[in-house]
Amino acid sequence: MPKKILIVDDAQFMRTMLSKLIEENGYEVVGEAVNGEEAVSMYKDLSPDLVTMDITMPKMDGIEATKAIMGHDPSAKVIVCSAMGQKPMVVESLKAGAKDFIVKPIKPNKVADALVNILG
Amino acid sequence: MDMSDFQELYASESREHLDILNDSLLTLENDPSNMEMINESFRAAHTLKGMAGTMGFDNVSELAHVMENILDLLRDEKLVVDTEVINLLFKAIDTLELLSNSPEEVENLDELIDELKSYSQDGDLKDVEKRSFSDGDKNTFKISDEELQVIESNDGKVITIDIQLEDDCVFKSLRADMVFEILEDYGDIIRVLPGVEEIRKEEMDNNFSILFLGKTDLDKDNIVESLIHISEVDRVKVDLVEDIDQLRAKEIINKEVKSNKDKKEDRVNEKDKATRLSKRLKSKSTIRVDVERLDSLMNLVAELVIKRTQVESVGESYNLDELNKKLKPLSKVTTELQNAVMEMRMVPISLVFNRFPRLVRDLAQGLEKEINLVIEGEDTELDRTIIDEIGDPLVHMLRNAIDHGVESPEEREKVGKDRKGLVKLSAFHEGNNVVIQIQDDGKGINPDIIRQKALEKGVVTQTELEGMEDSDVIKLIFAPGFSTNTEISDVSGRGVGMDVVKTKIESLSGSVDITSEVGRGSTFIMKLPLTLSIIQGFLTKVANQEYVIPLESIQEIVDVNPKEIQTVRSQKVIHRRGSVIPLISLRKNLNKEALTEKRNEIPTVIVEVGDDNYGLMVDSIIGQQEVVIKRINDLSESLQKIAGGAILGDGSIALIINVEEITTN
Repeated sequence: MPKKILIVDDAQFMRTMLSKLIEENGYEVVGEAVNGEEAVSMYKDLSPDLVTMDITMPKMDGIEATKAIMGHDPSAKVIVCSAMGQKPMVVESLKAGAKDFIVKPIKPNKVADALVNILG
Repeated sequence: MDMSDFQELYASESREHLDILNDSLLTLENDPSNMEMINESFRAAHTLKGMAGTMGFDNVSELAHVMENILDLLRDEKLVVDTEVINLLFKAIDTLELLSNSPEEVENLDELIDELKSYSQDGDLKDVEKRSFSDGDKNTFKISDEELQVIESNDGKVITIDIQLEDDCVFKSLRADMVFEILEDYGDIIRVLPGVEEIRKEEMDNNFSILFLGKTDLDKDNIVESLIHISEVDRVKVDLVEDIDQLRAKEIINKEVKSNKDKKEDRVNEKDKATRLSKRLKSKSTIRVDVERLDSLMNLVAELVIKRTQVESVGESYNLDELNKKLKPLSKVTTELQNAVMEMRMVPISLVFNRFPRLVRDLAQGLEKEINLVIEGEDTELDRTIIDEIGDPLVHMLRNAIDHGVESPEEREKVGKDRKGLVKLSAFHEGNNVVIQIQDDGKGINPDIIRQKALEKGVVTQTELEGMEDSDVIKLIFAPGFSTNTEISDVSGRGVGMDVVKTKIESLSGSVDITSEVGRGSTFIMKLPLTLSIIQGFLTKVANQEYVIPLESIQEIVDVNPKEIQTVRSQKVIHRRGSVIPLISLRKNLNKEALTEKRNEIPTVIVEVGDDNYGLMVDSIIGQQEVVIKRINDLSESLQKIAGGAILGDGSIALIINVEEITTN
């Protein structure tokens, strides 16, 4: 059974892009959340194997959402999607328990690597 | 992966973000302390940057980046919101728009980026980031005697680890941290080259080396295996150091540290706290469909409606009750299908209105006027085709309202008005129509000036003028030849007169009207059909030809007894409910022979045009029918009374009456 992935990003463009990439790499996208709040509640419903988490989002940002998800499931695997210039946020996300990060503009091979590195 | 797949999605979503930028900056200009708006525009610029970068649109990405820097400074209150910075940001937005629509028209992009950069004093940041770590022997560690002693007194294995990161790795220091963290399980890090501090500041090439004191049972391959699984770690090389003295003997490389980035880092930290929430970008679950696909679906539905009415007419002519019964639900389904397709084509008028706050701001600034633009009913929905067409006419009317309608702040104060002129743009439903009003509280239109100008331009004759009410006189501004077409508008880039506006609106089966009061202001009223293509109409017969009168303009249908008809100033009229309704014979108006036989009752369709009612006398009334409008191309001048053709159930053609035209003469 393919591993299940939850995509969190407020931009439709990014979600579509990531979703395509993830599926091309043989994983299953089980859900797409548009903000941190939605991410947390979808995580609880779907128990995905991995979450790709945007940082800058309305309602609840990716750091808070990562914290909330890690609080709910300490074994959760979160990959943070940051942009250039968001290094401190990435540091904070890693501290919060994120396993890896990818930097926008996203490059297909990097996403694939990160997924393989974490999910095997 | 083929990026062109995402082109369309990118285009429409970046459009949304540009709109958000425009809107939030406008709000910010009026309310400089509105942190929410700064955050919102920051986020929009940020998202744009990411999207453009992913698509490989580097110039868009770079421009968005420098905008983001300025917004960041605004957010941290290191810059003040003033007209200068807002103008600069607007300039950037305009350029971004141009970059996405017609990149060939973009000029001086580098200049603009430099201007923005110098505003944010961010000019040399990139250069610092790019400055690479010194060349030289990577395996040269600078270790002290004490450290050497520690190494010698320990039985562990001493190894060097060279890590090569991928070329385009962004946060190298974070990858290095991940490497260090994993290494903790295997032993102790003695030295890192370049130094830990340099790595933290990202002042390094894509590689770094570690002098490592491992546990005695250390397996080289295990280390390689664990490290290579860190993202963006390209190559890992582990070498056993056989001769510790080598380390001592080697020359030491000093690295000069240059940095002005500490401040920047602090600022980014604060950014965190400032990240606030906004509801604006909540995404709905929608799909985007090419309008052309909807058009072809619409055409298919229209064909279906025609075919259905054809079958219905067969059923009626042969009295096939069973067939008629079965056709009833079918007609319900087709009607619902038709409604569903129409609804799909409906888009909120905010698509057009959203452009206006910015436009009005620029116009007001240019004309040195103060304008308070109020927009109402932007959720009102209209057919996409109409939305696409009404932009220009609306811009023209808004421009008129601000340029000619609203007075200068000084003049307004003199007459006891608020310095700020009010321009109200509103949209609402009225039956099967959408009404768009542009109302200003300016000086209004003086009918005397119109009279004079109309005579000068030869639009009317003196005799025609004498019989005209003031309210009719001001409508002359819509007459062809009245507007001075020589004026070049900065808005549309070409001179357009109000007659062009009127023609445009009428080509959309709409109408435009004006009311005005000297000293109090003017109101332009546009009426537009909700949708085109299929209309409800009343089928009538005039001289053996079928004509459709659109249901939306029909007030009622009455049989007029010829005895009730009176003649007022050579105009035939009837009295209905206290008002006088002029009668128009369609036979006469459409140049048909007059009916010879005398009738006891004349079927008359009462229509409403603007605020006035007219009675259209026809030969007979066939009944209500849904008709599919087929546009007739190249209608000659003399055929203006016909709005188009319609195909009826039996395949015959009916002509659709242009009620506006037929009642104006």
